[in-house]
Amino acid sequence: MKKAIAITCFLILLNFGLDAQEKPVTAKLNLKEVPFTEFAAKVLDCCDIRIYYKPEWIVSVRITAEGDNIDINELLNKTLNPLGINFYYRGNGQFFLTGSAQISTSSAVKPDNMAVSGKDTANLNPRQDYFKRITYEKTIKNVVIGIRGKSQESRQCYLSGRITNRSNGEPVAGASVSVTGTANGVISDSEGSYSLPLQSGRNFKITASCLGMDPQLFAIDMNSSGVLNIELDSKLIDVREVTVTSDRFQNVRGMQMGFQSITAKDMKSIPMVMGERDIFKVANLMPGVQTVGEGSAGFNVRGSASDQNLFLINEIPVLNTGHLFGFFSAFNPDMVNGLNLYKSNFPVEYGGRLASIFDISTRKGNKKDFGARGSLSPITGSLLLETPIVKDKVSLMFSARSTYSDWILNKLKDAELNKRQGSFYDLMTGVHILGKDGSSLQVFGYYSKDKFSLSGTNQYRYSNLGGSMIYDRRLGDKWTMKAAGVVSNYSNFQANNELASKSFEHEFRVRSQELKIKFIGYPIVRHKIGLGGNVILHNLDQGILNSAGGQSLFSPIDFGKESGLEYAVHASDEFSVTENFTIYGGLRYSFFNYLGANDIRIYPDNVAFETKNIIDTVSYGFGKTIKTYSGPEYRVSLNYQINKDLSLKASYNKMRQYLFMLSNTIAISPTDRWKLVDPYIAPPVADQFSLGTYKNFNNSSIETSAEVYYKSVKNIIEYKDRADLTFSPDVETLVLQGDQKAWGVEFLVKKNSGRLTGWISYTWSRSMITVNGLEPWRKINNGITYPANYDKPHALNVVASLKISRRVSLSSTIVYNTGRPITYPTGFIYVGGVPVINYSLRNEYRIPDYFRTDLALTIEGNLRKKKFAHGSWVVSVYNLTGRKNAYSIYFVQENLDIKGYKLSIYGVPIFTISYQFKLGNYAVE
Amino acid sequence: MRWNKLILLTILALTASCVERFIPETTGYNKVLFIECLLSNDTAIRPVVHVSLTAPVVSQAGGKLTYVPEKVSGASVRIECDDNTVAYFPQFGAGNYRASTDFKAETGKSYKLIIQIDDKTYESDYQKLNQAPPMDSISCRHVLQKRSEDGLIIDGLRFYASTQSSEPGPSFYRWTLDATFRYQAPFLSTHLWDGRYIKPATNILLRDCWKSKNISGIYIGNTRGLSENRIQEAPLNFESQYGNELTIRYSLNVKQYNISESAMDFWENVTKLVNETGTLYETQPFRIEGNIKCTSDPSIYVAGIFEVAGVSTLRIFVNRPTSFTIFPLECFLQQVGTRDFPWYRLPAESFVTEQSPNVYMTANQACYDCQQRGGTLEKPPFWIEQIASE
Repeated sequence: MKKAIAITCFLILLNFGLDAQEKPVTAKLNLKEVPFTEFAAKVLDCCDIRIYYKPEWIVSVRITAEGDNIDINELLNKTLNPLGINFYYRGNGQFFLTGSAQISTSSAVKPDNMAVSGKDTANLNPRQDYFKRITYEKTIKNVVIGIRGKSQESRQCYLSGRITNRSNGEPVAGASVSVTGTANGVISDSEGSYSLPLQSGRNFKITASCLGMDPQLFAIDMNSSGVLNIELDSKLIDVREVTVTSDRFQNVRGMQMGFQSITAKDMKSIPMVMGERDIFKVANLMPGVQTVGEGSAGFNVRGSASDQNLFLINEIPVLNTGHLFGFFSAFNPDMVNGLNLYKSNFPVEYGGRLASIFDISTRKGNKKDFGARGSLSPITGSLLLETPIVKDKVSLMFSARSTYSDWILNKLKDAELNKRQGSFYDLMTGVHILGKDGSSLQVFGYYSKDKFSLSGTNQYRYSNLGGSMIYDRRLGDKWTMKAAGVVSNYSNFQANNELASKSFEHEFRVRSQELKIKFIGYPIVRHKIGLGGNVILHNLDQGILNSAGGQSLFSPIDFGKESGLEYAVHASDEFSVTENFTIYGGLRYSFFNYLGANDIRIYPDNVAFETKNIIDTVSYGFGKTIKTYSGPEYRVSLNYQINKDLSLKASYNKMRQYLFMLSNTIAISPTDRWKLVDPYIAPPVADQFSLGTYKNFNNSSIETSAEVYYKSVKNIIEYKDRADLTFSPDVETLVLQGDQKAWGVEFLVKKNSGRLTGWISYTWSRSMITVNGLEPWRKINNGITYPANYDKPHALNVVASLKISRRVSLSSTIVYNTGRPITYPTGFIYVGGVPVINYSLRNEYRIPDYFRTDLALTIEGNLRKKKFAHGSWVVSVYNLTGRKNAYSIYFVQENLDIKGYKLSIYGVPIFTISYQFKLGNYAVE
Repeated sequence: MRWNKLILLTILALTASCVERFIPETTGYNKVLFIECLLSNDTAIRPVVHVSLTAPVVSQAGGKLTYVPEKVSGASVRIECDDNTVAYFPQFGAGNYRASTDFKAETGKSYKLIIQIDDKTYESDYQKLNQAPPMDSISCRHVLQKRSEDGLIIDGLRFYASTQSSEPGPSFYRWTLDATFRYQAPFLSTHLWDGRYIKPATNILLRDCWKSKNISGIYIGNTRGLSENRIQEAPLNFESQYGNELTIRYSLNVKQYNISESAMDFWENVTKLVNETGTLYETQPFRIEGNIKCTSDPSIYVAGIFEVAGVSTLRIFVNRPTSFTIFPLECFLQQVGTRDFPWYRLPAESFVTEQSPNVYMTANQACYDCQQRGGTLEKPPFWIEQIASE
C-alpha cells in the first residue's frame, strides 16, 4: 500500500504544472514551536492539506503560527526557505517538499520513503488508476528550475545533475540530455553527471535518453542555474540492443572520433569463446582493433604495438589484461558495465600511452535491493553479489570468478596432460556512496591471479592488484570536480627447470601510485572548460634471476630497480562556435623524471651499446633525477555538423609514453617485463591526424562512419635480432629506436534497433617500421622499412543478432583478416651435417588469411514478472567451419629433414553451453 | 560424468592446439654464400673448408622441403696463422677445399680463414686454438619423449655430457657424436635354400654385428653466467626404445670441441632457429650471421662459421636398459613350401629354420644375417665387452 501511494505521488508530480493558479490555501492554526510532523498532521486533520516530505529533511524544523487565515504557502516559504528546503504547491491542498534542491521535480522526491502526512490514502486510488494508463514516454514533466530573477532579460544558466537508473540507483553513463529539436545537448559522464548550458527562459523541451532506457521528457522553465536529477527506467521490453555508441546522437553530434563505447549488453550480443563473455572480444570486432593471433593477449590499435594501450578499470591501470595466456580477459564480465575505447582524439586527461585508452567501468552496485548473479561455463564459474548498505545511498558489491581447469587436469591419468596446469581467478569489490550534496565516492579493489605450467618444467605466475578511490562532486552550478587516488601492482614470475644445472627463477614487479584531479566547468557561454593534472610514481623491480634447485650453477643476475615520476597538467576548451560547429582544443604538458637510486652504464661515444663496451657505471642516489623528459601533447578536434544526420570531424593528437613493455615475442608473453624510459631510451612520441564523416539514416537507427587516419611515431622501440631479454639486464644493448608510420581507413555501419541488429566494419590499414640509425649497429633489417608484426591490411567483421522471439535470439559473427607478416625461410644451409633454414628479411611474407565464423543461441528463462531468479542458457559454436587458421608457420628440422608446420589455436568447431543466472526477473539490469 | 567429459574436451581443445604440416607457397630465394670450416688439433681429421650457396626452398609432394646446396668451386682458400705461416687449401671435389696432409693446427696458435671468390674477399677473425679439457663423464637416463612423426610418447635413453675446466671461464663447447652398437639377428637357421635344394647350414657366425652411425644434430653448452666453469649434464642425443641400438650394448663416442664465443653465438642462433619455433611466444626469426664477413664489400651478406678448437674425446658403453621395453626391428617367421608361399618364390641363398619335421620357416634374411642391417661382423678395435663391475 505504501508503494501504491508512493507511485501515485510520483505520477502526480510528473504531470501537473507548477504554477497552478488557485486561491491561497489557508488554515486556522495555533502552534508554537511544534515539530513539523505535528504541524503536518494538524493541517491534514483540520483542512485536508497534505504535505509530503522526507522525515530527515524536517527533523529540526519547528513551526510557529497563530491566526485564523494562515497562508500555508507563505508559512512554509518563511519557515523552510532559510533552511534551504524547497517545496512547491501542486494544487488541491497538496504541498511537496523537495529537499535542498532549488527545483521541484520528480527525481528530487524519493517516492519510496516519502512520508505522507496522513493516514487515509484510499482517496488517492482513482488517481493512481488514471495515471497508470499513461505511458512513461508520453509523460512530460513540468519543472521549474531556480528562483525567478527580477530582470526579464535572458541569462546564461546551467541545468546539471545526475542521471541514475531507477531500478537499482546506478549512475547512467553516456546518456544524452538535450534540448529537443536543437543541437544543444550533452552526454553524462561515467558518474552519470551532466551539465547542460541553457539560456534562461520558459518551456524548454528537454529529453533525457539512453539506449535501452525509456527517454524522459521535461518541460523546463529556467529561472537560474539549478539541479535536475533524473531517474530513467529500463525499457520494459528489451529489444536486444546491439549498439556501439551508448547514445544515438553521439555518432554525428559528439566530438568523439575513433571512439567506441561498448556496453555490457554488447557482450551478450556476440557468440562466446568457451562460454566466456568478454568485453575485449567485442572490442576486437571494432574497426582498427586487431590482435596478432587468436587467443593472444593484447591489442594492436590502429597499427600500434600492444604496449601502447592503456587499460583502466575504474582508473586502475592493468598491465596484463589476459587470463590463461590471454585466451580470456582478466575482468569478470558480470562486473563490467562498459568500455570506452579511444583510438584517436584522446581527451586531454588521458596520457601515458600512444595508441589507445581502454577505459573500463564497473557496475556501482544496486542501491535498492539485494542482487546476485553468476554464470557457469565449461571453464569458469563466477558469482557477483550486490547489496545496498544504506538504501539509495551506499551500495556494496563483490565478485569472484575462478576456473576449475586444474581440478579437471588433476583428475586425468594422462601423464603428459597431468603435468600441464593452468588456473586463474579474479576478485573485485567496490563500495559506492552517493552524498546528499550530489557528490559520489567510489572505492574499488581488483585482484587477478594466473598460474600455469607447461610439461612440468616451466612455471609461470602473474597477478594484478589494484585499488582506486574516486570522488566527484559539483562545485557550484558551473563546475564539477573529479579526484582519484590509484595504486596498482603487477608482478610476474617464471621458473625454468628444463636443465637442472641451469634452472632459474625470476620475479618482476611494477608498482604505480597515482593521484589525479580534473575540473570541468562552463564558466563562459558555449565553452566547456577542463582543467586538471595527475602525478604517477612508478616503482619497478626488475628482479633477480636466481638459480633454482640445488643443482643449478647459475650465478644470480641482478636486473636492478628503477623509479620514475610521471606528471602532467592539462587544460581544454570545447567551444561551440555555432550550433553546428564545435572546436575542441586541449593541451597536456607531460613530464617524466627518471629517478635514482640507480646505476647508469657508460659507453664511449660512437660505439655500439654492448655489454662488452661498458667503460664505467655512474651511481645516482635515492630520489635524484637522472634524466628528465617533457613535452606538450596537443589535442585538437573539430566537428562541423552539416545537418542533423551528417557531420564532418577532424582531429590532431600528440601522445607521449614513458613506460613500455619489454617484449620481443610476437604475441605478449606472460614473462614480459615493463621498463621505464631511461637515459638511453627516449620516450616514444606519436602524432595522429584523423578525418571522418558520420551519417545516420532512418532516424538514427542506422549509423555509419568513415574515418581516415595517419599516425607517425618517433622513437618506437624495436628489438635487435636475437635480443635475449631473459638473461640480459642491460636493456639498451637489446633495443633500437626507430620510426613507425601507420595509416588506414575505417568504415562502420551499425543497425541499432529492430529484430535484426549488428554491425559491419571494414578496415584497410598499414603499419610500417623503419630502424635506420646512422651507425650500422643502429639498423634493423639493414635499415629497410618493414611491416610491423601486427600489420594486417584488410579486416572485415560482421556481427548480427536476430531476435527470434522474446526468449530466443541468435547471434553470429564473421571475421576475416589478412594474415600477419612473417619472416619465411629463403634458403637452407648444411651446417655440421644438419640442414638449417635461413630466413628472409623481416616480415617479408604473410601467414594465410584468417577467417572464422561463430554462432550462438541464447534461450532466456520464462518472462514472468514475479520470480525469484532468472536463468538463461547460451549454446555457442566458435569457429563453426572448423577452419584451421594459422597462428604461426614454423619450420623444424627432423631427422635431417626440414618440415614446415602450421600451428592453429582452435582448429575445430568448439561447442559450449553455459548457464547464467541472476536474482529477479528477465528485465533486471 | 558426461558433464565432466564435456569440460575435458574443452580443456583439451584449449591446451592441445592443433598442428599440421604446411608448405608455404613459393617463397623468394636469395643466393647467399655459406662457408663452414672446423679446424682442430685432432690429427685424424684433415680440415676441409666447405663453400656453398644456400639452397632454395623447393616444395615437393609429401610435404618435404628439399634442399640442394649449390657447391661453389674455383675459390681461392687459405688459412693464415699468427706465426705468419699460410696454408693453402686446394680444391678437392666441388665446393670442398682441403688442407695438405702436412698441415697441422697447433694448440695456442691463432688462425684466420681467407677466401677469395671472383673479386670478393671473405675473412674471419683470428681464432685461437684452445686445448679442450677432458670430459668428466657422459651419463644417461631413462626419459620419455614425444616422437615427432606421430606424437607418440616413447621411452628411451637421453645422454648427457659433463665437463669442467681449470681455466677461468666462460668456456664454450660443441660436441659431435657417433655411436656404435652391437645387435643380433634373432633367428637361428637349420638350412640354406640354394634355389633348388635345401641343405643344412647354420647362420651362427652371421648373427652378431656391430654398427656405427653418425649422430647429427647440434649439441652445445657453455658456462656463461655460471658460478663455476663447469657443465653439469648438458643434454646430448636420445636413443629410443625402437630399433636395434639398445638391444645388447651401445657405445657413444663424444668429441668435445673447445670453441670460441663467436662460434658459440653462431651455434646458439642456429639452435634457436631449429628448435625454438612454433611456440605461442615465438620471437622474430632472423638471418644467420657467423664470424665470417665480406671484407671487400661489407654490404654483402654472408653466412659462415670458422671454428678453431681443441678437441678431447670420451667413449662410454651402455648395456641394454632394463627399466623399459626394447622393441628391436621386427622379424616375422613365415612357413615356406606351402601353396601360398612355394619354395620357388624364396630367393636363393635364403636361410630357413626347420621348426618341426618338414615344416620350414623363413623370414626376412636380415633376421638371419645381421650384416643386412648395415652392420659388420668385425668387432671394432675400441669395443670393450661388459666387464664384471658394470
